[in-house]
Amino acid sequence: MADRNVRARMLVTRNVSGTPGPESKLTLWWLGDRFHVRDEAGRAFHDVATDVVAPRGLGFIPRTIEDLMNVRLPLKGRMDCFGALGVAEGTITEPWGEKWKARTDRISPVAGQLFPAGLESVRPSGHERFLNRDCVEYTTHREGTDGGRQYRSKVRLLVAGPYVLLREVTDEGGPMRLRAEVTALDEGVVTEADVKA
Amino acid sequence: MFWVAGVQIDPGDLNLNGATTPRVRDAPIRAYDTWVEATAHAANTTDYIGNLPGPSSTGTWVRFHDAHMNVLGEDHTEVTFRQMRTAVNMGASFIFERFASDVMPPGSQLLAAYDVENAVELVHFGINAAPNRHLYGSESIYPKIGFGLVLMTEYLNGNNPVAHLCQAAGYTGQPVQRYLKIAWGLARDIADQVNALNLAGNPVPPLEAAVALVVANHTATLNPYITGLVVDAWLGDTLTLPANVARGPELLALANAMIPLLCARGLAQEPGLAGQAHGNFAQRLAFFGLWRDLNFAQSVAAANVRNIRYAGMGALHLQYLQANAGMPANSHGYDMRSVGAHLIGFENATALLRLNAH
Repeated sequence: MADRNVRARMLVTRNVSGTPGPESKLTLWWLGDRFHVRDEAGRAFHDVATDVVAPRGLGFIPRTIEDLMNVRLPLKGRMDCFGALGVAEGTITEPWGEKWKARTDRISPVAGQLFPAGLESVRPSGHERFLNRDCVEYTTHREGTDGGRQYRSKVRLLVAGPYVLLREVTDEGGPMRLRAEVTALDEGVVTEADVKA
Repeated sequence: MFWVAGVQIDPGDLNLNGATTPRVRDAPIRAYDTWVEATAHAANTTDYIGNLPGPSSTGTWVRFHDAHMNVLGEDHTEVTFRQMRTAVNMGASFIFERFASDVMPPGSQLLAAYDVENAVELVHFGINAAPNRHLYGSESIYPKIGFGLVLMTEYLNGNNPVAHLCQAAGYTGQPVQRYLKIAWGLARDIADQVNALNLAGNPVPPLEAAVALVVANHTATLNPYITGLVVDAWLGDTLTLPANVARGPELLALANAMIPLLCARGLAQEPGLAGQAHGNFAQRLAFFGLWRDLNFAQSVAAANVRNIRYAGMGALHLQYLQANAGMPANSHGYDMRSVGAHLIGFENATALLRLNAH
Protein backbone atom coordinates (compact mmCIF):
# COMPACT_ATOMS: atom_id res chain seq x y z
CA MET A 1 0.00 0.00 0.00
CA ALA A 2 2.98 2.26 0.40
CA ASP A 3 2.92 3.06 -3.31
CA ARG A 4 -0.75 3.97 -3.46
CA ASN A 5 -1.30 7.31 -5.10
CA VAL A 6 -4.74 7.59 -6.58
CA ARG A 7 -7.72 9.93 -6.72
CA ALA A 8 -11.12 8.53 -7.58
CA ARG A 9 -14.37 10.34 -8.16
CA MET A 10 -17.44 8.26 -7.54
CA LEU A 11 -21.14 8.57 -8.21
CA VAL A 12 -23.48 6.72 -5.87
CA THR A 13 -27.10 6.30 -6.89
CA ARG A 14 -29.78 4.46 -4.99
CA ASN A 15 -33.36 3.39 -5.32
CA VAL A 16 -34.60 2.06 -2.02
CA SER A 17 -38.13 3.43 -1.88
CA GLY A 18 -39.64 2.96 -5.29
CA THR A 19 -38.31 6.25 -6.57
CA PRO A 20 -34.73 7.25 -7.27
CA GLY A 21 -32.99 8.63 -4.24
CA PRO A 22 -30.64 11.56 -4.19
CA GLU A 23 -27.29 11.12 -5.91
CA SER A 24 -24.05 11.34 -4.02
CA LYS A 25 -20.71 12.33 -5.44
CA LEU A 26 -17.60 11.27 -3.59
CA THR A 27 -13.92 11.99 -4.06
CA LEU A 28 -11.40 9.57 -2.57
CA TRP A 29 -7.71 10.30 -2.21
CA TRP A 30 -5.12 7.68 -1.25
CA LEU A 31 -1.47 8.43 -0.64
CA GLY A 32 0.32 5.42 0.80
CA ASP A 33 -1.59 4.43 3.92
CA ARG A 34 -3.31 7.78 4.25
CA PHE A 35 -6.71 8.58 2.84
CA HIS A 36 -9.26 11.35 2.56
CA VAL A 37 -12.90 11.05 1.51
CA ARG A 38 -15.12 13.99 0.61
CA ASP A 39 -18.85 14.05 -0.03
CA GLU A 40 -20.36 17.26 -1.36
CA ALA A 41 -24.00 16.21 -1.37
CA GLY A 42 -24.60 17.25 2.23
CA ARG A 43 -24.56 13.70 3.52
CA ALA A 44 -23.33 12.93 7.01
CA PHE A 45 -20.49 10.49 7.53
CA HIS A 46 -23.00 7.95 8.80
CA ASP A 47 -24.86 7.91 5.49
CA VAL A 48 -21.73 7.75 3.38
CA ALA A 49 -20.46 4.89 5.53
CA THR A 50 -23.80 3.10 5.53
CA ASP A 51 -23.64 2.85 1.74
CA VAL A 52 -20.60 0.65 2.25
CA VAL A 53 -21.12 -1.20 5.52
CA ALA A 54 -24.90 -1.82 5.76
CA PRO A 55 -25.50 -5.57 5.85
CA ARG A 56 -27.74 -5.66 2.81
CA GLY A 57 -25.34 -3.52 0.82
CA LEU A 58 -28.09 -1.08 -0.08
CA GLY A 59 -27.23 1.78 2.25
CA PHE A 60 -29.91 3.36 4.41
CA ILE A 61 -33.32 1.84 3.73
CA PRO A 62 -36.28 4.11 4.62
CA ARG A 63 -38.92 2.26 6.59
CA THR A 64 -41.35 4.93 7.76
CA ILE A 65 -43.07 7.90 6.16
CA GLU A 66 -40.67 10.11 8.08
CA ASP A 67 -37.71 8.22 6.64
CA LEU A 68 -39.15 8.50 3.15
CA MET A 69 -39.53 12.24 3.61
CA ASN A 70 -36.15 12.63 5.29
CA VAL A 71 -34.20 11.06 2.43
CA ARG A 72 -35.57 13.81 0.19
CA LEU A 73 -34.57 16.68 2.45
CA PRO A 74 -32.45 19.17 0.54
CA LEU A 75 -29.18 18.68 2.37
CA LYS A 76 -26.15 20.87 1.87
CA GLY A 77 -22.59 21.12 3.03
CA ARG A 78 -19.48 19.01 2.71
CA MET A 79 -18.29 16.01 4.68
CA ASP A 80 -14.59 15.24 4.90
CA CYS A 81 -12.98 12.32 6.65
CA PHE A 82 -9.27 11.68 6.99
CA GLY A 83 -7.40 8.69 8.31
CA ALA A 84 -4.41 6.44 7.96
CA LEU A 85 -4.16 2.67 8.16
CA GLY A 86 -2.25 1.68 11.26
CA VAL A 87 -3.24 4.84 13.12
CA ALA A 88 -5.88 4.46 15.80
CA GLU A 89 -8.15 7.37 14.98
CA GLY A 90 -9.19 9.50 12.08
CA THR A 91 -11.02 12.80 11.80
CA ILE A 92 -14.47 13.54 10.45
CA THR A 93 -15.96 16.95 9.67
CA GLU A 94 -19.70 16.78 9.16
CA PRO A 95 -21.57 18.97 6.65
CA TRP A 96 -22.85 21.20 9.45
CA GLY A 97 -19.30 21.84 10.69
CA GLU A 98 -19.07 19.44 13.62
CA LYS A 99 -15.65 17.83 13.84
CA TRP A 100 -15.09 14.53 15.63
CA LYS A 101 -12.74 11.59 15.85
CA ALA A 102 -13.53 7.95 15.18
CA ARG A 103 -11.59 4.72 15.19
CA THR A 104 -9.90 4.16 11.86
CA ASP A 105 -11.67 0.86 11.40
CA ARG A 106 -14.95 2.80 11.33
CA ILE A 107 -13.69 5.18 8.67
CA SER A 108 -11.43 3.11 6.49
CA PRO A 109 -14.19 1.05 4.80
CA VAL A 110 -15.45 4.22 3.14
CA ALA A 111 -12.08 4.92 1.56
CA GLY A 112 -11.38 1.23 1.11
CA GLN A 113 -14.39 0.68 -1.14
CA LEU A 114 -12.08 1.53 -4.00
CA PHE A 115 -10.15 -1.70 -3.51
CA PRO A 116 -11.37 -5.29 -3.77
CA ALA A 117 -11.50 -7.41 -0.64
CA GLY A 118 -12.45 -11.00 -0.03
CA LEU A 119 -12.46 -11.99 -3.69
CA GLU A 120 -9.56 -14.44 -3.47
CA SER A 121 -11.82 -17.48 -3.63
CA VAL A 122 -14.44 -15.98 -5.93
CA ARG A 123 -14.39 -17.05 -9.55
CA PRO A 124 -14.85 -14.28 -12.14
CA SER A 125 -18.29 -14.21 -13.69
CA GLY A 126 -17.39 -12.22 -16.78
CA HIS A 127 -15.36 -9.48 -18.41
CA GLU A 128 -16.39 -5.98 -19.37
CA ARG A 129 -14.97 -2.63 -20.44
CA PHE A 130 -15.69 0.12 -17.96
CA LEU A 131 -14.13 3.55 -17.66
CA ASN A 132 -11.99 2.63 -20.67
CA ARG A 133 -10.42 -0.23 -18.74
CA ASP A 134 -10.66 -3.98 -19.05
CA CYS A 135 -12.50 -5.24 -16.00
CA VAL A 136 -13.12 -8.60 -14.42
CA GLU A 137 -16.66 -9.10 -13.20
CA TYR A 138 -17.32 -10.81 -9.88
CA THR A 139 -20.78 -11.71 -8.63
CA THR A 140 -21.40 -12.53 -4.98
CA HIS A 141 -24.41 -12.56 -2.69
CA ARG A 142 -25.24 -11.28 0.76
CA GLU A 143 -27.91 -13.14 2.69
CA GLY A 144 -29.49 -12.59 6.05
CA THR A 145 -32.60 -11.53 7.88
CA ASP A 146 -34.03 -8.02 7.98
CA GLY A 147 -37.25 -7.17 9.74
CA GLY A 148 -37.97 -10.86 10.22
CA ARG A 149 -37.65 -11.69 6.55
CA GLN A 150 -34.88 -13.33 4.60
CA TYR A 151 -33.08 -11.16 2.10
CA ARG A 152 -30.61 -11.88 -0.66
CA SER A 153 -28.63 -9.11 -2.27
CA LYS A 154 -26.69 -9.66 -5.45
CA VAL A 155 -23.38 -7.84 -5.52
CA ARG A 156 -21.76 -7.26 -8.88
CA LEU A 157 -18.24 -5.85 -8.97
CA LEU A 158 -16.17 -4.71 -11.90
CA VAL A 159 -12.51 -4.82 -10.98
CA ALA A 160 -9.70 -3.33 -13.05
CA GLY A 161 -6.28 -4.11 -11.63
CA PRO A 162 -6.27 -3.02 -7.97
CA TYR A 163 -9.46 -0.97 -8.27
CA VAL A 164 -13.18 -1.66 -7.93
CA LEU A 165 -14.70 0.54 -10.61
CA LEU A 166 -18.31 -0.53 -10.11
CA ARG A 167 -20.24 -1.96 -7.18
CA GLU A 168 -23.82 -2.71 -8.03
CA VAL A 169 -26.04 -4.18 -5.35
CA THR A 170 -29.52 -5.42 -6.23
CA ASP A 171 -32.14 -6.79 -3.90
CA GLU A 172 -33.30 -10.05 -5.45
CA GLY A 173 -36.74 -9.69 -3.80
CA GLY A 174 -37.63 -6.28 -5.15
CA PRO A 175 -36.56 -3.06 -6.80
CA MET A 176 -34.06 -1.79 -4.24
CA ARG A 177 -30.60 -1.22 -5.56
CA LEU A 178 -27.41 0.76 -4.99
CA ARG A 179 -24.85 1.57 -7.64
CA ALA A 180 -21.44 3.00 -6.77
CA GLU A 181 -19.34 3.71 -9.82
CA VAL A 182 -16.00 5.34 -10.33
CA THR A 183 -16.41 8.17 -12.83
CA ALA A 184 -12.79 9.28 -12.92
CA LEU A 185 -9.60 7.63 -11.77
CA ASP A 186 -6.30 9.48 -11.70
CA GLU A 187 -3.09 7.88 -10.52
CA GLY A 188 -0.03 9.76 -9.34
CA VAL A 189 -1.80 13.08 -8.76
CA VAL A 190 -2.33 12.99 -4.99
CA THR A 191 -0.19 15.29 -2.87
CA GLU A 192 0.41 15.61 0.87
CA ALA A 193 -2.09 18.42 1.02
CA ASP A 194 -4.88 16.17 -0.27
CA VAL A 195 -4.64 13.76 2.65
CA LYS A 196 -3.77 16.18 5.41
CA ALA A 197 -6.60 16.80 7.89
CA MET B 1 -20.10 -0.14 38.91
CA PHE B 2 -19.66 3.58 38.71
CA TRP B 3 -17.23 6.43 38.50
CA VAL B 4 -17.42 9.91 39.96
CA ALA B 5 -15.32 12.59 38.31
CA GLY B 6 -13.31 9.88 36.56
CA VAL B 7 -12.54 7.80 39.65
CA GLN B 8 -14.01 4.33 40.02
CA ILE B 9 -15.78 4.00 43.35
CA ASP B 10 -14.76 1.19 45.67
CA PRO B 11 -16.90 -0.46 48.38
CA GLY B 12 -15.30 1.46 51.20
CA ASP B 13 -15.92 4.93 49.84
CA LEU B 14 -17.30 7.18 52.56
CA ASN B 15 -19.67 8.92 50.14
CA LEU B 16 -21.67 5.78 49.48
CA ASN B 17 -25.22 5.62 50.72
CA GLY B 18 -28.10 3.19 50.63
CA ALA B 19 -28.96 4.03 47.06
CA THR B 20 -25.48 4.04 45.57
CA THR B 21 -23.85 1.16 47.49
CA PRO B 22 -25.51 -1.62 45.41
CA ARG B 23 -24.04 -0.04 42.28
CA VAL B 24 -20.41 -0.43 43.29
CA ARG B 25 -20.12 -3.99 42.05
CA ASP B 26 -22.98 -4.45 39.61
CA ALA B 27 -22.46 -4.74 35.87
CA PRO B 28 -23.66 -1.49 34.24
CA ILE B 29 -21.08 1.19 33.56
CA ARG B 30 -22.03 4.61 34.93
CA ALA B 31 -19.95 7.77 34.84
CA TYR B 32 -21.06 10.66 37.02
CA ASP B 33 -19.68 14.15 37.23
CA THR B 34 -20.46 14.52 40.95
CA TRP B 35 -21.72 12.58 43.94
CA VAL B 36 -24.88 14.66 43.85
CA GLU B 37 -25.51 13.41 40.35
CA ALA B 38 -24.73 9.81 41.33
CA THR B 39 -27.18 9.95 44.21
CA ALA B 40 -29.86 11.62 42.11
CA HIS B 41 -29.52 9.01 39.37
CA ALA B 42 -29.74 6.19 41.89
CA ALA B 43 -32.91 7.83 43.20
CA ASN B 44 -34.30 7.97 39.66
CA THR B 45 -34.64 11.74 39.68
CA THR B 46 -32.42 12.57 36.69
CA ASP B 47 -33.59 12.79 33.09
CA TYR B 48 -30.37 13.12 31.08
CA ILE B 49 -28.09 10.16 31.91
CA GLY B 50 -28.45 6.41 31.82
CA ASN B 51 -27.64 3.09 30.16
CA LEU B 52 -29.18 2.17 26.82
CA PRO B 53 -31.48 -0.80 27.33
CA GLY B 54 -30.71 -2.49 23.99
CA PRO B 55 -31.06 -4.42 21.85
CA SER B 56 -28.78 -1.96 20.04
CA SER B 57 -25.72 -0.71 21.90
CA THR B 58 -26.87 -2.39 25.07
CA GLY B 59 -25.46 -0.89 28.26
CA THR B 60 -23.86 2.15 26.64
CA TRP B 61 -23.75 5.05 29.08
CA VAL B 62 -25.30 8.15 27.53
CA ARG B 63 -25.28 11.70 28.73
CA PHE B 64 -27.41 14.45 27.26
CA HIS B 65 -27.67 18.06 28.33
CA ASP B 66 -29.06 18.39 31.83
CA ALA B 67 -31.11 21.54 31.31
CA HIS B 68 -31.64 22.48 27.66
CA MET B 69 -33.62 20.78 24.93
CA ASN B 70 -31.93 17.69 23.53
CA VAL B 71 -32.67 16.88 19.90
CA LEU B 72 -32.03 13.19 19.38
CA GLY B 73 -31.51 11.74 15.92
CA GLU B 74 -32.35 8.06 15.60
CA ASP B 75 -32.26 5.26 13.11
CA HIS B 76 -35.42 3.22 13.58
CA THR B 77 -33.46 -0.01 13.19
CA GLU B 78 -30.71 0.84 15.66
CA VAL B 79 -30.87 2.86 18.88
CA THR B 80 -34.39 4.25 18.83
CA PHE B 81 -35.96 7.24 20.53
CA ARG B 82 -37.97 4.71 22.55
CA GLN B 83 -34.78 3.18 23.89
CA MET B 84 -33.22 6.56 24.63
CA ARG B 85 -36.37 7.59 26.47
CA THR B 86 -36.12 4.51 28.64
CA ALA B 87 -32.40 5.02 29.22
CA VAL B 88 -32.61 8.53 30.63
CA ASN B 89 -36.05 8.45 32.21
CA MET B 90 -37.29 11.39 30.18
CA GLY B 91 -40.88 10.84 31.26
CA ALA B 92 -43.44 12.96 29.44
CA SER B 93 -41.14 15.84 28.55
CA PHE B 94 -40.74 15.07 24.85
CA ILE B 95 -42.04 15.56 21.36
CA PHE B 96 -41.65 12.87 18.74
CA GLU B 97 -41.93 12.96 14.97
CA ARG B 98 -44.12 9.88 14.89
CA PHE B 99 -46.90 11.77 16.70
CA ALA B 100 -49.09 14.41 15.12
CA SER B 101 -48.94 17.99 16.28
CA ASP B 102 -52.45 18.70 14.99
CA VAL B 103 -55.57 18.94 17.09
CA MET B 104 -57.71 16.39 15.26
CA PRO B 105 -61.46 16.85 15.68
CA PRO B 106 -62.86 14.65 18.46
CA GLY B 107 -65.10 11.97 17.03
CA SER B 108 -63.62 12.34 13.56
CA GLN B 109 -62.77 9.36 11.43
CA LEU B 110 -59.36 10.90 10.89
CA LEU B 111 -58.66 10.71 14.60
CA ALA B 112 -60.05 7.17 14.81
CA ALA B 113 -57.79 5.99 11.99
CA TYR B 114 -54.78 7.77 13.51
CA ASP B 115 -55.42 6.11 16.86
CA VAL B 116 -55.66 2.66 15.30
CA GLU B 117 -52.43 3.08 13.36
CA ASN B 118 -50.49 4.50 16.30
CA ALA B 119 -52.04 2.55 19.15
CA VAL B 120 -48.92 0.63 20.11
CA GLU B 121 -46.66 3.69 20.11
CA LEU B 122 -49.17 5.87 21.95
CA VAL B 123 -49.47 3.28 24.71
CA HIS B 124 -45.73 2.72 24.87
CA PHE B 125 -45.10 6.42 25.34
CA GLY B 126 -47.91 6.61 27.88
CA ILE B 127 -49.90 9.26 26.05
CA ASN B 128 -52.80 7.27 24.61
CA ALA B 129 -55.20 8.93 27.04
CA ALA B 130 -53.27 12.12 27.64
CA PRO B 131 -55.08 15.45 27.31
CA ASN B 132 -53.61 17.81 24.73
CA ARG B 133 -51.98 14.87 23.04
CA HIS B 134 -50.92 17.02 20.11
CA LEU B 135 -48.33 18.62 22.39
CA TYR B 136 -46.30 15.40 22.12
CA GLY B 137 -46.25 15.64 18.35
CA SER B 138 -43.65 17.43 16.30
CA GLU B 139 -45.13 17.22 12.82
CA SER B 140 -48.46 17.84 11.16
CA ILE B 141 -50.16 14.73 9.88
CA TYR B 142 -51.54 16.42 6.76
CA PRO B 143 -48.31 16.69 4.74
CA LYS B 144 -47.56 13.09 5.65
CA ILE B 145 -50.94 12.03 4.30
CA GLY B 146 -50.27 13.96 1.13
CA PHE B 147 -46.77 12.54 0.76
CA GLY B 148 -48.03 8.98 1.22
CA LEU B 149 -50.78 9.47 -1.36
CA VAL B 150 -48.35 10.95 -3.87
CA LEU B 151 -46.03 7.99 -3.44
CA MET B 152 -48.96 5.60 -3.84
CA THR B 153 -50.00 7.12 -7.15
CA GLU B 154 -46.72 6.08 -8.73
CA TYR B 155 -47.70 2.46 -8.18
CA LEU B 156 -51.34 2.83 -9.18
CA ASN B 157 -50.75 4.74 -12.40
CA GLY B 158 -48.41 2.14 -13.79
CA ASN B 159 -45.08 3.93 -13.31
CA ASN B 160 -44.05 1.30 -10.75
CA PRO B 161 -45.42 -2.22 -10.31
CA VAL B 162 -47.94 -2.57 -7.50
CA ALA B 163 -45.99 -5.66 -6.48
CA HIS B 164 -43.25 -3.32 -5.29
CA LEU B 165 -45.56 -2.33 -2.46
CA CYS B 166 -45.42 -5.90 -1.14
CA GLN B 167 -43.38 -6.80 1.91
CA ALA B 168 -41.10 -8.98 -0.15
CA ALA B 169 -40.06 -5.95 -2.22
CA GLY B 170 -39.07 -3.57 0.55
CA TYR B 171 -40.63 -1.23 3.05
CA THR B 172 -42.47 1.42 1.05
CA GLY B 173 -45.76 -0.48 1.07
CA GLN B 174 -45.99 -0.33 4.85
CA PRO B 175 -46.02 3.45 5.46
CA VAL B 176 -48.02 3.97 2.27
CA GLN B 177 -50.73 1.70 3.67
CA ARG B 178 -50.64 3.39 7.09
CA TYR B 179 -51.20 6.83 5.60
CA LEU B 180 -53.79 5.55 3.11
CA LYS B 181 -55.87 4.36 6.07
CA ILE B 182 -55.53 7.74 7.75
CA ALA B 183 -56.29 9.51 4.45
CA TRP B 184 -59.47 7.49 4.11
CA GLY B 185 -60.60 8.65 7.54
CA LEU B 186 -59.98 12.24 6.49
CA ALA B 187 -61.78 11.72 3.19
CA ARG B 188 -64.86 10.38 4.96
CA ASP B 189 -64.84 13.36 7.32
CA ILE B 190 -64.73 15.67 4.32
CA ALA B 191 -67.61 13.78 2.71
CA ASP B 192 -69.65 14.19 5.89
CA GLN B 193 -68.91 17.92 5.90
CA VAL B 194 -69.94 18.22 2.26
CA ASN B 195 -73.18 16.36 2.98
CA ALA B 196 -73.91 18.77 5.83
CA LEU B 197 -73.27 21.75 3.54
CA ASN B 198 -75.56 20.29 0.90
CA LEU B 199 -78.31 19.61 3.41
CA ALA B 200 -78.08 23.17 4.66
CA GLY B 201 -78.17 24.49 1.12
CA ASN B 202 -74.75 26.05 1.44
CA PRO B 203 -72.19 26.18 -1.34
CA VAL B 204 -69.59 23.41 -1.42
CA PRO B 205 -65.97 24.20 -2.30
CA PRO B 206 -65.02 22.30 -5.46
CA LEU B 207 -61.99 20.45 -4.05
CA GLU B 208 -64.04 19.16 -1.13
CA ALA B 209 -66.84 18.23 -3.52
CA ALA B 210 -64.42 16.18 -5.62
CA VAL B 211 -63.30 14.19 -2.56
CA ALA B 212 -66.89 13.67 -1.46
CA LEU B 213 -67.78 12.39 -4.91
CA VAL B 214 -65.04 9.76 -4.81
CA VAL B 215 -66.12 8.70 -1.34
CA ALA B 216 -69.75 8.45 -2.47
CA ASN B 217 -68.87 6.50 -5.57
CA HIS B 218 -66.56 3.99 -3.91
CA THR B 219 -67.46 3.70 -0.23
CA ALA B 220 -69.16 0.36 -0.75
CA THR B 221 -65.94 -1.20 -1.98
CA LEU B 222 -63.17 0.99 -0.55
CA ASN B 223 -64.43 1.22 3.00
CA PRO B 224 -64.39 -2.51 3.76
CA TYR B 225 -61.09 -2.86 1.94
CA ILE B 226 -59.24 0.02 3.60
CA THR B 227 -60.63 -0.40 7.10
CA GLY B 228 -59.86 -4.13 6.86
CA LEU B 229 -56.17 -3.57 6.17
CA VAL B 230 -54.13 -4.95 9.04
CA VAL B 231 -52.09 -2.44 11.03
CA ASP B 232 -48.42 -2.37 9.99
CA ALA B 233 -49.01 -4.61 6.98
CA TRP B 234 -47.96 -3.82 3.40
CA LEU B 235 -50.50 -2.42 0.94
CA GLY B 236 -49.18 -4.47 -1.95
CA ASP B 237 -49.77 -7.75 -0.16
CA THR B 238 -53.55 -7.27 -0.42
CA LEU B 239 -53.76 -5.03 -3.46
CA THR B 240 -52.12 -7.62 -5.68
CA LEU B 241 -54.68 -10.26 -4.77
CA PRO B 242 -57.05 -10.93 -7.69
CA ALA B 243 -60.06 -10.05 -5.54
CA ASN B 244 -58.66 -6.56 -4.96
CA VAL B 245 -57.38 -5.63 -8.40
CA ALA B 246 -60.40 -3.38 -8.94
CA ARG B 247 -59.42 -1.34 -5.89
CA GLY B 248 -56.39 0.09 -7.68
CA PRO B 249 -58.30 2.57 -9.90
CA GLU B 250 -60.55 3.48 -6.98
CA LEU B 251 -57.57 4.28 -4.78
CA LEU B 252 -56.03 6.30 -7.59
CA ALA B 253 -59.25 8.30 -7.88
CA LEU B 254 -59.15 8.90 -4.14
CA ALA B 255 -55.53 10.08 -4.27
CA ASN B 256 -56.18 12.29 -7.29
CA ALA B 257 -58.99 14.02 -5.42
CA MET B 258 -57.23 14.27 -2.08
CA ILE B 259 -53.83 15.56 -3.24
CA PRO B 260 -55.09 18.86 -4.74
CA LEU B 261 -57.22 19.41 -1.66
CA LEU B 262 -54.28 18.86 0.67
CA CYS B 263 -52.08 21.15 -1.44
CA ALA B 264 -54.73 23.86 -1.22
CA ARG B 265 -54.99 23.45 2.53
CA GLY B 266 -51.22 23.60 2.87
CA LEU B 267 -51.10 26.83 0.90
CA ALA B 268 -53.85 28.27 3.08
CA GLN B 269 -52.15 27.28 6.34
CA GLU B 270 -48.47 27.83 5.66
CA PRO B 271 -47.37 31.15 4.16
CA GLY B 272 -43.97 29.59 3.52
CA LEU B 273 -45.50 27.39 0.85
CA ALA B 274 -46.52 30.33 -1.30
CA GLY B 275 -45.21 29.89 -4.82
CA GLN B 276 -44.16 26.30 -4.23
CA ALA B 277 -44.96 24.29 -7.36
CA HIS B 278 -47.07 21.17 -6.88
CA GLY B 279 -48.05 20.08 -10.34
CA ASN B 280 -46.10 16.86 -10.84
CA PHE B 281 -44.85 13.93 -8.81
CA ALA B 282 -41.49 15.38 -7.80
CA GLN B 283 -42.94 18.80 -7.09
CA ARG B 284 -45.64 17.33 -4.90
CA LEU B 285 -43.15 15.31 -2.87
CA ALA B 286 -41.12 18.47 -2.39
CA PHE B 287 -44.24 20.48 -1.55
CA PHE B 288 -45.35 18.13 1.20
CA GLY B 289 -41.79 17.83 2.44
CA LEU B 290 -41.50 21.60 2.78
CA TRP B 291 -44.88 21.83 4.50
CA ARG B 292 -43.71 19.26 6.99
CA ASP B 293 -40.50 21.16 7.67
CA LEU B 294 -42.24 24.48 8.16
CA ASN B 295 -44.68 22.95 10.60
CA PHE B 296 -41.93 21.00 12.30
CA ALA B 297 -39.88 24.12 12.95
CA GLN B 298 -42.88 25.73 14.61
CA SER B 299 -43.60 22.68 16.78
CA VAL B 300 -40.01 22.35 17.97
CA ALA B 301 -39.74 26.06 18.71
CA ALA B 302 -43.00 25.95 20.66
CA ALA B 303 -41.80 22.91 22.61
CA ASN B 304 -38.60 24.72 23.44
CA VAL B 305 -40.60 27.62 24.84
CA ARG B 306 -42.52 25.10 27.00
CA ASN B 307 -39.14 23.83 28.27
CA ILE B 308 -39.68 20.41 26.78
CA ARG B 309 -36.51 18.41 27.31
CA TYR B 310 -36.43 16.10 24.30
CA ALA B 311 -37.30 16.09 20.62
CA GLY B 312 -36.98 12.75 18.82
CA MET B 313 -36.63 12.44 15.07
CA GLY B 314 -34.85 10.62 12.30
CA ALA B 315 -31.19 11.51 12.27
CA LEU B 316 -31.43 12.89 8.75
CA HIS B 317 -33.97 15.39 9.99
CA LEU B 318 -31.63 16.41 12.80
CA GLN B 319 -28.86 16.80 10.26
CA TYR B 320 -31.09 18.99 8.11
CA LEU B 321 -31.84 21.23 11.08
CA GLN B 322 -28.17 21.50 11.98
CA ALA B 323 -27.15 22.37 8.44
CA ASN B 324 -29.89 24.95 8.00
CA ALA B 325 -29.71 26.87 11.26
CA GLY B 326 -32.96 25.18 12.27
CA MET B 327 -32.04 24.06 15.76
CA PRO B 328 -33.99 25.71 18.57
CA ALA B 329 -32.09 28.21 20.67
CA ASN B 330 -29.90 26.55 23.31
CA SER B 331 -30.76 23.07 22.06
CA HIS B 332 -28.24 20.29 21.63
CA GLY B 333 -28.24 17.77 18.80
CA TYR B 334 -27.15 14.15 19.18
CA ASP B 335 -26.59 11.85 16.21
CA MET B 336 -27.39 8.49 17.78
CA ARG B 337 -26.94 6.33 14.71
CA SER B 338 -24.48 3.46 14.79
CA VAL B 339 -21.91 5.46 12.84
CA GLY B 340 -23.02 8.79 14.30
CA ALA B 341 -20.65 11.02 16.19
CA HIS B 342 -22.38 10.97 19.54
CA LEU B 343 -23.30 7.32 19.84
CA ILE B 344 -19.78 6.34 18.84
CA GLY B 345 -18.46 8.72 21.47
CA PHE B 346 -20.70 7.24 24.14
CA GLU B 347 -19.77 3.72 23.11
CA ASN B 348 -16.06 4.44 23.15
CA ALA B 349 -16.24 6.10 26.56
CA THR B 350 -18.23 3.20 27.98
CA ALA B 351 -15.83 0.64 26.53
CA LEU B 352 -12.83 2.50 27.92
CA LEU B 353 -14.30 2.53 31.42
CA ARG B 354 -15.12 -1.16 31.22
CA LEU B 355 -11.59 -1.91 30.00
CA ASN B 356 -10.00 -0.06 32.90
CA ALA B 357 -12.42 -1.19 35.60
CA HIS B 358 -10.98 -3.04 38.56
